[in-house]
Amino acid sequence: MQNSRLYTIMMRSVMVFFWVCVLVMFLGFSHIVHFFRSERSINIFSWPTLLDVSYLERFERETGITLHVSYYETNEELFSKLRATKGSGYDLVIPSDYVVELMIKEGLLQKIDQTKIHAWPELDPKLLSLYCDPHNDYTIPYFWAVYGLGIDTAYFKDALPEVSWDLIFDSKKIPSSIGMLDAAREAVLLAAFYLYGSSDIAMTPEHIAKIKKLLIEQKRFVGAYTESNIEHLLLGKLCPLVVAMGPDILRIQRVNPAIKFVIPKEGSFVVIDSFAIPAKSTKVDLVYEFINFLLKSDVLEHHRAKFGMCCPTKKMQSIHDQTICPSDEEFAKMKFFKTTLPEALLNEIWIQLMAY
Amino acid sequence: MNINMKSFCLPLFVTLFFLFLYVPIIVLILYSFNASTMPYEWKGFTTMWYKQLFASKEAWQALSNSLIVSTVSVFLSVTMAVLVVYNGFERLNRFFVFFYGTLVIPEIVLAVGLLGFFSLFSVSLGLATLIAGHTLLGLGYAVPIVHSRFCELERHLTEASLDLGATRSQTFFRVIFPLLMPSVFAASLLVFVISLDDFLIAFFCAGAETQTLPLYIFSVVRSGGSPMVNALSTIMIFVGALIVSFIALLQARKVVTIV
Amino acid sequence: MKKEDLRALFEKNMQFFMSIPAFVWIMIFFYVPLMTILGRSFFVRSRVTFVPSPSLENYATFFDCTYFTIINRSLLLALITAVACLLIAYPVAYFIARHVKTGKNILLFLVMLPFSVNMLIQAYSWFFMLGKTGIINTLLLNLGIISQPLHLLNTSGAVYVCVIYCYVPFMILPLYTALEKIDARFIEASLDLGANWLQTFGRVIIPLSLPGISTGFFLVFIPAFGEFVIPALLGGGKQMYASSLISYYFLTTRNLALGSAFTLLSSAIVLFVAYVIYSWLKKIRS
Repeated sequence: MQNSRLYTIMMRSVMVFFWVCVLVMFLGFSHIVHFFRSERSINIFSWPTLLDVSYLERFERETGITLHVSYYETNEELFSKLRATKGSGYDLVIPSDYVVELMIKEGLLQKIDQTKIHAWPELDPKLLSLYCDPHNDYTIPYFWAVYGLGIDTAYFKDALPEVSWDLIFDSKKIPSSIGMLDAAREAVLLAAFYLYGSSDIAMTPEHIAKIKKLLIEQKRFVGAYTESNIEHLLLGKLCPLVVAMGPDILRIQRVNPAIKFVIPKEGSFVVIDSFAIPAKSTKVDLVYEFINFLLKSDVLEHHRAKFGMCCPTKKMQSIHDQTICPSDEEFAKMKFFKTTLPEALLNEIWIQLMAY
Repeated sequence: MNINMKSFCLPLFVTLFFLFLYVPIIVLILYSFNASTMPYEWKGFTTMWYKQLFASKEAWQALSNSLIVSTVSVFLSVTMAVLVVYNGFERLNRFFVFFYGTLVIPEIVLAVGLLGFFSLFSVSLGLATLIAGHTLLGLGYAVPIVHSRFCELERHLTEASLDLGATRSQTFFRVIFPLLMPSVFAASLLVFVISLDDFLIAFFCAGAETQTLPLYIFSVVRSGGSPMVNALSTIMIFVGALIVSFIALLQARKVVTIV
Repeated sequence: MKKEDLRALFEKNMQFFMSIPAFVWIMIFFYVPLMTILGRSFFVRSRVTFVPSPSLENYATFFDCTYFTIINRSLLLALITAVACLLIAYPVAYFIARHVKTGKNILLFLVMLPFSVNMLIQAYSWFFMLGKTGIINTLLLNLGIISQPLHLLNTSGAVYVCVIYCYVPFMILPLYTALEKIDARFIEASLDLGANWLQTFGRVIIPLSLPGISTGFFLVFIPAFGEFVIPALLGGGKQMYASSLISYYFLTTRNLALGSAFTLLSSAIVLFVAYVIYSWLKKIRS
C-alpha cells in the first residue's frame, strides 16, 4: 500500500504545517492588538524621575490622548531597545546627547518640524545646535543636568576636603567606599578627563591602557557601581561619596540636608536630554501636542520644583539653583560624553573592569 | 555523652536553621508597616504603603499582565500536555524524552535562545512572546506529571472503553479526563506558580512595554527598594503560602501526588 | 482525491493531529532557538559590509584571562553554594527524617514554604538584614560585639549568603526522601556489630543517602551557576558572573553572536564539571 503511506505522510505534514501556522498567528497577535489600539494614544519611553503622573493624567483629561509610558534606567537600555525594534514601538523617547548622535547615525529618528513647537523661541540657545544635532533637525532639548559629587557632609565632620575628582580617583584621598557610575562610556570618559584634562582627544593604546589601570585601581574603593541606587548608598550610610547628577542629589538633600552636591573644581560633564521621535512613529501631531504641554511654563516649573531638573527655557534660568544648574559661563566649560572610541572598545574595557 | 550531644546539638541546629529561613521574610513583612521611607529607622506602624500600592497604576498593570500571561500559559501548556499524553501514548512514547530538555538546560539558555529566535524573525516582544516562553516552561512540568498519572491508570482502560463502543472523544471526556483530574489540577497549580514567579524569561523576552510582577519588583529594588515593594512582597508571600498550603493539603489527603 | 477519501484520511490521522501541538511548540520555542544560538555563535558580522560569515572568531575571543575569571567566579559560586547547602540541609533533613516521630509533614511543609517566595523577594529581604541599620548590625551593636556597624551589603559575602539562602530548600527534599528510605535495620546492624555512631554515620548512612545527595547537589549546582540577579542586587554590580556577561551581551551591547558563543561555552563548561562530579559520586557509590 505504497499510496496509502504516501498519503499518510502528506496528511501529517499538512497537519504539522497547520499547527505551525497557528503558532505564527499567535506570535503575530501583538501586531493585531497594536492595530486595534486607540488611535488617539502615544507610547512614551522615558526616564523614571522625569514625568509627574498627575500631570500626565491632566494632559490625558485635557486632550483625550491616552499616554502609555514605559521607563528605562540607562541610555544603553533605551538605545538597545530602539535598535532592536528598528525605531518602531514608541512615539516619543528622551535620549541624552551622546545617544542622539548614535541614533541619528543608525536612522532611528525622524525629523521634527520646529514650527510646531510653540515654545521654540523661548528655548535657551546654549542647549540648541549641539554637536549631536547641529541644526536641531531631530531633537528638542528638554532638560539638562551636570555630573558632580554627592557628599555626605556628616561623614567628613571635621573638614570637608577640597572637592576635586581626586576624591574618586586618587587612592590617597578616596574615602572608604564610593559610588561610581555604572555605564562604560561615562566611566571611561570621566577617567580620561581626569588623566588628560579632556575626554574628546584621540586615544592611543597607551591612553587606553592608563585609563583601564586607573579604573581597576579605583575599583578597590568602589562600594557599588550604580546611578539609580545612590539614594540607598547615601541615606543608608553605605558610601559617603557618590558620583551622580545634580537633580538626583537635590532630591536626596530634601530627605537629609547633610547631603550636598558639589561640582569638582576641574570641571565636569553635562548631559542634555532631548525629545526625539522614533523613525516609524505615525502619531507625530499627537506627540507635538504632548511636547507643547510639557514645555508650558507652569508645567516646567512644577517639574523643576518636584524633580530638581534644569529646564530648557531662558526664563527658567534665573530661578535655577546655581549649585545644580550652573551659570552660562560655567556651562561653557562643561564637557559632553562624546567620543570617537568605538562602542566595542568601551564594552571591552567595561567587561575587563567587571571581571576582576 | 555522645547521645546527649546528639539530642541537644541537632535540635539546636534545626532551630537555628528555621530562624535563618524565616527571619529575613518576617523582617521584610515588618518593614512594610514602617512609616519611614527607607529602612533606616522605625518610625511607627502604618498601612499607608498598602494604600499607595493599591493606588499605583503601574503595580496593577504589572499584576494584570502577570495574571494574563500565567493563566494563558497554564491553559495552553496543560491542554497541550493532556492532548499529547492521551493521543500520543502508544506511538509517540519514545519521543516524550524531548520534553525533559527544558528541565536540564539552565533557564538563562532558554531565555536567551528565545530572545535570539524572536529577534531573528523580527517578532515584536510583548505578551505573546512571554506566553510562548512560559508555556514552554510549563510543558516541561505538565507533561511529566500528566504522563506519569496516565501511566498509572490501567493501560487498557482506553482500549476497554473503545471496545465497549465509546468513541475516542467519549472515552476521553467520560473516562480518562475525570481520572486525570487530580494531576491536571496539580500541574495547573504548579505551572501557574512557576509562571507567576518567573523572572529570567520575562527579563529577556518581555519587551519594554510589558511588565510582570517580578520585573516590577526588580526595577524598584534595583533603585534601592521602597516600602511599597515590601507591601507587595508581603501580599505575594501570603498568596504563595496559601497556594502551597493548599497543595500540601491535597497531597496529605492523597488527592494528588506531585512529589 | 475524493472528498470522502480525504475525510477518511483525516480521521485516520486524527490522533496524530491532536497529539502534535505540544511537539510543535517545543520544537519551535526550544529546539529551534537552541539551533539559533548554536548557529549564531559560529558567525561573525563584518564591520564594514554587515554580511555574516562563518568563523571561530567568537570563541577565540574568550581565550583570555578575563573570561576565565568570570567563568571561574560562577563555578566557585555554584560549587560553594552546593556544598554549603548540602552541609546545612543534611542535618535538618536527617533530623526530620529520622528523629521526628510525629509532625514530620508539618516540619517538611515549614521547610518548603520559603520555596513559594519569589527569589527576588528573598534577595530583597536581605537588604534589611545586611544594611548598616539592618537586623544583623543592630543585633551585634546592641550585644556590644561591635562598636561600628559592619559594611555587609554590596560585598561578595552578601551574594554568597543570599544565594545559599535561596537554594537550601532545593536540597532538603531530595535528602529527606533518601534518608527516610534507609532501612533502620541497617543502622541497628551496624551499631550491633560494634561500630560507634560516627562510623555508622560515615559508612552506612551517608553512602545509603548518596542518591539524594547527588540529586540535591545538581538541583543547586547548575542553577547557581546561572545566577546573576542576586550578584546584581546584593553585590553592588562590581563583579560579573557568567550570566551577568550573557545578559550584558544580549541586552546591553546587543552582540548576539558573541553572546550566543559565550552562552554555549559557559553551558558546556558547567555541564562538563557537573558530569565530572557526577561520575565521581557514582564511583563512590559503587
